[in-house]
Amino acid sequence: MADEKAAKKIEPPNECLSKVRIGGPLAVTDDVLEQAQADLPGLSALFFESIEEDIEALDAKLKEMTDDPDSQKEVLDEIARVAHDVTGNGGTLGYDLLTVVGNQLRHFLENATLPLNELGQEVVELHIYALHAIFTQKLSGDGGDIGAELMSGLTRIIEKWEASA
Amino acid sequence: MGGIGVVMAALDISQLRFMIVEDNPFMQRVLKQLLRSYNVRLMREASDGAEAFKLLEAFPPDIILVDWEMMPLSGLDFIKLVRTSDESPDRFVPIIMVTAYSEAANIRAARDAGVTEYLVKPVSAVNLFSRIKRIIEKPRPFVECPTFFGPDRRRREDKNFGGPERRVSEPQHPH
Repeated sequence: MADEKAAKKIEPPNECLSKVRIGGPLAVTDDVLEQAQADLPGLSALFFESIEEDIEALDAKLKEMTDDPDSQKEVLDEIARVAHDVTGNGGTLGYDLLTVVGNQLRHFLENATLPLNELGQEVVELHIYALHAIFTQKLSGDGGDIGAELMSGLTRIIEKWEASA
Repeated sequence: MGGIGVVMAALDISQLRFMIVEDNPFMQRVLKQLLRSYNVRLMREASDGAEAFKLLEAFPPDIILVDWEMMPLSGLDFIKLVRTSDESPDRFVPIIMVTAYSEAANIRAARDAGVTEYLVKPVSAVNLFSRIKRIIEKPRPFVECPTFFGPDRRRREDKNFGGPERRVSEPQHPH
């Protein structure tokens, strides 16, 4: 940001402020926010449809996994992209564990050296199976005891992979 | 209702125009529904940055919500286009990046592209509205220099700073 020492500072007109009012029947109060949050589960049908599509896409990509570096990279890039979507959507309707596992998978793929060996591929596979389990058993929040067990298994396989690297 | 523990001034934002740039149908619906809950009625959607950029002329928004990962034009490239292209209809429009990327490197990249606010998914009614409210109540000046055009990246003012203003010019209003 050194360039900004010699930069021009501009105050643009606040177009938003000129259109906003304080109070009135259409104002966003705490009650409005609470109701807005309470209404989100109304989108659960679309949510489950979207997550199901994502998990099917992950399953399909898993079947395409090979040891060939080029095609493996293509497969893993797509898995990371879908895991990113799951990360963003999961917690929106309270399925926080989908977000945690999706994010962990994406993070693993971003930092792993490719091509993945057999153990690395197992890390990916187990994360996808975990997403499957969370979805089919509708494990909301942290998933309780089953969630803890899933996370513990994923942590163990990542530690094993890190130790072998 | 007992309240949700978030004290916010009751703003009526129903006259603001929003553009949602998001390729995931579920997340697009979430954002639309939240804006409707805030009584916003004027909104348009686009599924990627290129479609959104074309739409800016016909539907000039007051605030843009943009995802990061989209094809063919990502949210990050869309922000750069809005801020720096000669064809941009409004280089100052406030932009909120709504993304699952939570790493510091991503936040820095978005800031350097000229994003106004950054919201890490999952989205909630409170966290989205808090970003909108900040844009309205605490607008940031823009900075123009050879390598950057966008909201001032030094958000916090140092109240104890007693030295001279290091920028060449005083704030100016755009023509």
